[in-house]
Amino acid sequence: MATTPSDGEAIRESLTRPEAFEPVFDRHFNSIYKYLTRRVGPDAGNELASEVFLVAFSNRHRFHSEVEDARPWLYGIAANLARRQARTWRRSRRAGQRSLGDNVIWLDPAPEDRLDAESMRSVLLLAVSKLRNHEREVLLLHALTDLSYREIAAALSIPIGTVRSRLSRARRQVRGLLIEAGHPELAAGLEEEDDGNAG
Amino acid sequence: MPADDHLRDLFDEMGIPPEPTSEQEAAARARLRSAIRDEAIRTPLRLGRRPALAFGAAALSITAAIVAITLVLPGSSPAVDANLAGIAGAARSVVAEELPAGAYVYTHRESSFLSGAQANEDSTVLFYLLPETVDTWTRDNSKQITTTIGTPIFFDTKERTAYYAAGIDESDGVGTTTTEDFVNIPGLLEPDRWSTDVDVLRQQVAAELAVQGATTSNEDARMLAFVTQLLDPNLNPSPQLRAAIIELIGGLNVTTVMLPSGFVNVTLEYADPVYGSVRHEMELDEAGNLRATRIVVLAPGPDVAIPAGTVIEMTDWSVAAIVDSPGSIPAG
Repeated sequence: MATTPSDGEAIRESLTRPEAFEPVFDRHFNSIYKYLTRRVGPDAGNELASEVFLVAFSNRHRFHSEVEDARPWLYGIAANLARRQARTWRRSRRAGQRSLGDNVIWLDPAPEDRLDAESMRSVLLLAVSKLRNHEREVLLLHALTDLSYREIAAALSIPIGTVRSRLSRARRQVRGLLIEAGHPELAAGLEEEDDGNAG
Repeated sequence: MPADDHLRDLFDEMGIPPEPTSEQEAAARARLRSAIRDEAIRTPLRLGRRPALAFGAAALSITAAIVAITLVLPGSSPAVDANLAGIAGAARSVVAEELPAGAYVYTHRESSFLSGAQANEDSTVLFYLLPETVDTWTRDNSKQITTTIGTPIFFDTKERTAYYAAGIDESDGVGTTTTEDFVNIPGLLEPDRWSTDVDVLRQQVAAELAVQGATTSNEDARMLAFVTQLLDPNLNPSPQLRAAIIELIGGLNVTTVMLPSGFVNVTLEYADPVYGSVRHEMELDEAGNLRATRIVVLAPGPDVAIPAGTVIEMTDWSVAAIVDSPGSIPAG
């Protein structure tokens, strides 16, 4: 019975037979799409999700094919594209594109599109937006994906200890900002979580 | 995913993201297949750029301490602190070396960071400093990192007892050493993105900060924190970029002291919304290499149970070196 190639096997094969890359798309497009739509909204998220795989395909020669799982690599590309999108929005000031859907929250908005501060979504969104870039990146990858600390480290090309420390700091910052905004009930669950997620 | 992961629960309560529609998936797949078809000629595997290693003795030797007078640069640039102007000049005189084929840029840092954990659901947060030693080998957009987690430093013996009793040392990886291989994905801090003209660099950084969240209203502190990242030896900034960054720092409201070692100590105090009153410190050597950073809590905020004067983040860097292979460490 034919077995599905791992990401590493598919990417290695695609270096000589490009069409072999497609199983990577099959396996990961759904989760990359959902991560990006939560980061940058449905329209931009859809566009960027497609772009992730174009970037990955054109840079596949840089992927360490002995690594079986391409998720950290793909999420790293996705995170970079999301950051670039946030900067593009700021420069273009196209306010009409940015609106919150009913069932998704996106976390890189321009300030002028933030909702009434009483909204729970906007309170959390504001708190997260106040984080330093590298702390926010780690927090969002942890909160919006199922990546382990080790996989987050791989996605961002940083040591796992740095992931722990940035996440720890980000949690405390967000917790402090939520309390400062008058929402201690949101902050209650954000005390340090020893979730053993070091894998 | 852990059942009690409050952070993920909080974000999930914000709304469940939709699945892609079949049309969206089909459109994305079509774009990928088009790219696959367009790859008519397979590009040979590229080694990627070979970063010029910007280390080595400055072409001009650094003499005695620089008299601390303010130098005014032409144009509308802010005045640059004299100590930093001198180091910037020395950095510009460094001759960057090409990385030989097959060689790696090696960096070593020793850091510690303030961490917090709960021993159990009902307990308060334990604060402690978690040390780590990190060795990094970089070339051709690939990277190997070896991390060793050290023994935590506690502010209270009771907290130490609670920490080990709860097994938090295991999840922190105390005493472990891990080696991981990465593919470098060019990101925001890549040196190629930043101008070596200090005025242009200042505008670039200001534009970047404008789209980032602000943890403090002190704009000089935000800028200092950001450009300190650009000096990270792992990024291997060129001598010209280091010089521009140092000149930019010299135009901020910082205090500098020339140390007996010839290094320059740079400090800036500001209000952090969580940690309270803090001081950002950095040390640059005579050639403008980043050698140390510190964040010191001068007066802690109400949510942080640590003594005043605690160094909540510290990193000491060795100067980058060239080595033949990952895992090898230069002699001396």
